Amino acid sequence: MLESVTSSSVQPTAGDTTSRLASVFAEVLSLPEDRIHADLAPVDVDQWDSVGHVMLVAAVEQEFSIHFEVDEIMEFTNFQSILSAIDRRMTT
Amino acid sequence: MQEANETSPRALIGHLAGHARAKPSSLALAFGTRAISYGELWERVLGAADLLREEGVEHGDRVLLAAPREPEFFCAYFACHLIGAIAVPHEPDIAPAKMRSIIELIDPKIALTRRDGPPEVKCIPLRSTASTYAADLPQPDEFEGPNADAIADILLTSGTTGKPKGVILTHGNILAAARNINQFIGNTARDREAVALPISHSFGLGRIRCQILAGGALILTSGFQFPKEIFKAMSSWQATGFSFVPAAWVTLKRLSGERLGQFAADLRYLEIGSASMARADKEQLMRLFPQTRICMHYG
Repeated sequence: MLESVTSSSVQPTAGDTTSRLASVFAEVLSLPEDRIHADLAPVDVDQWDSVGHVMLVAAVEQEFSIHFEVDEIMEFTNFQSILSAIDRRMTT
Repeated sequence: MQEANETSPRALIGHLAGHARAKPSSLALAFGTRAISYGELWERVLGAADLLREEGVEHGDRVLLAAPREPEFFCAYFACHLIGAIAVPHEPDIAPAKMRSIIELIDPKIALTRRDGPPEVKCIPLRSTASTYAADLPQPDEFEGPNADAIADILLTSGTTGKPKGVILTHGNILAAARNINQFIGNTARDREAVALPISHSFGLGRIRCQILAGGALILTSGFQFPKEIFKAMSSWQATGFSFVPAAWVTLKRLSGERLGQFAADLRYLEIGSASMARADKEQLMRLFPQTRICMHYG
């Protein structure tokens, strides 16, 4: 899975975070991990509807022990955008 | 309920034709940055009707129809009504197994899909409905519409307690319901309603019918998982109405807080349907939209 993610231009230094986030995606969206990549977006996944999106945000918050602000959540459009938000939180 | 005018069309498709004749340049659909007028919509409905006829669809045939919030769906849906076929809308990304059970139930002549469909029925891409039209299809000024008691749609239940079931609606049914709801809300031709709901379901499709009857405009937006895109569309196209179900309001709050309230001065009405709403949510909406008509109906 991780190879698939990093091959789609995810920051190499974000490896552990990337792997944990991919695991959250796989579980919440019932996806095989080899389908997860940086550009993965709701249009690519049937289960990533509005309910799936809320579940995803909640699961990510729980996994990384953070609480996103509304301004951050509104920028979530794909895997990479959520990963970037986590990275920003972890470096501040 | 307001009585229908004796001379008014017997079916919603007749009202669409009337708008195309009376105000062809008025906005009917907004999709991203694209604007589709009533005149253009009618032309595209004719094109879709021509395509259906080329595929052998005749009066009374059932047409399985993927229903994304995209203009092509509108063309195909009203094209079915135009030629007397029966539209059977379904969610756009339906699972193959569910698709097969629907085909078994409905026995469609054809399916207009966004994805490859099963071999049990001939499938053509929904986007191919944007074609040219034949000369012998009716123009707006010569179109009367189907009889009120003819079947217009078969709506599919969710199938949560078993296989999906079909609910039959006549042209008279959908016109009467749309008239009734429009009177309740006070919809007019000046309204522009943002729709983020799935339009394969009864409530979302009902909002489409109501706006087309009133001669207003529909702003087709992203789903509720993208509130930023919804708000952008509402702002760009100057929405005067917004429709949602209680669960969508919960989603919208989780993903965007109370940002919808920024449109309080612009939204003339909110239309809520399909299920009961928590009292706290109603009170929150009343606080955020003190001057907006907040309507709710379901059942």
